[in-house]
Amino acid sequence: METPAYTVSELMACVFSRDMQDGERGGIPGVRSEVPLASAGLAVRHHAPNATIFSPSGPVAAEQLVMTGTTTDYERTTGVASMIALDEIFDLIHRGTFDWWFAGGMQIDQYGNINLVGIGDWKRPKLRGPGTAGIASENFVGRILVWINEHSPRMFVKKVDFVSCAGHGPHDRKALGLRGGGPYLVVSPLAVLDFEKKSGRMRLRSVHPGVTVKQVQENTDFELIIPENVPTTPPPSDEEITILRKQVDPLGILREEELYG
Amino acid sequence: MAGTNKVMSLKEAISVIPDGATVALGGFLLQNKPMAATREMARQRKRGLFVICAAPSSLDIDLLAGAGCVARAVVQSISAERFGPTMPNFRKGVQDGTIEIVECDQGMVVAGLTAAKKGVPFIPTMAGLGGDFPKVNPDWFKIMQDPFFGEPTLAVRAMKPDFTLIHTLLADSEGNAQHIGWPANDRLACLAADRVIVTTEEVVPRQVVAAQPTRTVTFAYNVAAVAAVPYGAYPTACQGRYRYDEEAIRDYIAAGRGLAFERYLEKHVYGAPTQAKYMESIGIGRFLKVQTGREC
Repeated sequence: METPAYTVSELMACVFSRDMQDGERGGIPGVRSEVPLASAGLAVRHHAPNATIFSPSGPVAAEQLVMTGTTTDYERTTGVASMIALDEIFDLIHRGTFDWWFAGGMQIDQYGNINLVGIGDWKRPKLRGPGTAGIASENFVGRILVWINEHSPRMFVKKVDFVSCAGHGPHDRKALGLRGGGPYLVVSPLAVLDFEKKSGRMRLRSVHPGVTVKQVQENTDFELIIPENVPTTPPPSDEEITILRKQVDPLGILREEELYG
Repeated sequence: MAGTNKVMSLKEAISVIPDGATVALGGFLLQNKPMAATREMARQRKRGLFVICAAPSSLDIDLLAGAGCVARAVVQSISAERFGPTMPNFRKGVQDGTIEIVECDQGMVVAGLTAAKKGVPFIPTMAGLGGDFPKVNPDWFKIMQDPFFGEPTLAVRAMKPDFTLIHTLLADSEGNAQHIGWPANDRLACLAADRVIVTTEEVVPRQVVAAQPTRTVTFAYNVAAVAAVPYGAYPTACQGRYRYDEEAIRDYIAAGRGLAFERYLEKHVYGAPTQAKYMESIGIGRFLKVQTGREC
């Protein structure tokens, strides 16, 4: 059988979708939700029909898990069965309601600390980023699913310039009061990564089709934990790609070139 | 019983904001942003404002930044999403050091506004724990042990707006203002503020508002002004009335990135002293298109 052609964003959506279990509670961020929304939209149609998915405005049905121009378009925010305000969604996050939520980043380090604030000195940054959004709050959900749009040494850094969302070290998460599981899965255009439990350091889990282990390490500014056998990320199946394109992303937003910076 | 009629022109409504005021912006990213109000603040050359973005913000704070109105800002996420991952004038202001930042997670903004709403000096929250926020803004955030069990929490100082600016679909003349879409953080931003300035697509009789009171996001007692400004959220969307104008948003960002922003301000803000003039400067067809989804 021929493997369907797909974009990196579509592959990323499939990887996250496969991590979502039926019956779990998860959330779509309020900003830059393209890959998160596509993964959740795919998961509920593919294998997790009983997942409870929250948008920023409340719990949504599958019909709202369809990509439109932006995250908070009218048809997406008003499609909820019970509408909640912005303060209430954060109450729910902090009290530990969610199994997973998504985080984006402009820098991530070997412990999974994530920066969305800026590059360089905080007071006079070389590059001001968009800001933390809500990713600090995500340290109170079970698993943080991290998508990074560029795999390069400037994104995968030894130490982030600002901690928006704390990872697994060098601090003690418990002492900081973080009750959630922290960054769990990192998906980049090159690979899938996770964190070794003991050291809290980033580990290579799989490389995307056509990518080598060497290439991933060369594009990472710190030393990755690399297991002896690194599998290839399974590409999107015919079924996944059909659901994505026909039902989740009919406008083809995931097939546009990703823009960042 | 008839309430106080607070309907006035946009110019009058904005004229009560003094230089140096703390001003919260309602809406969410590209929805229901008080754009006409921010253009009027630019026209009136407000200076030294402390802007609180009640929710993720975009062209609203960026236009104020580009017009030199902003001294300080509470921010969590400033972008135009797919259309622009950062906003040009705000970004320039922070990089040049002309805009001072109170760095937040959205949950911290919620905490700061909630403290103001409750009249308490601070609120403990889980938002921001583990992050660098207290390091860079120790005047606003402190790690605090909870006095009962000793667990760490983040104390967030009250963020009290002198004025909150929102744009809604409807309002009555007393200031009961309604969305039919998602209110985002508007209700909290209005409850936290001393005074609220409402711009609205349409001023309607009180009975229209009273027919659906659950949609009201303001409380008329602290509404200082109601200004009817059709297309007052353009080029962002007014939920239930018109969509955002992607092309206008991209044009705005392109103007901000280059040296053209002064020209943009001259054409669409300083040189367009009323909403009618602003709409003419953009072209009426664009407004019809965001409302109907087609060329009219």
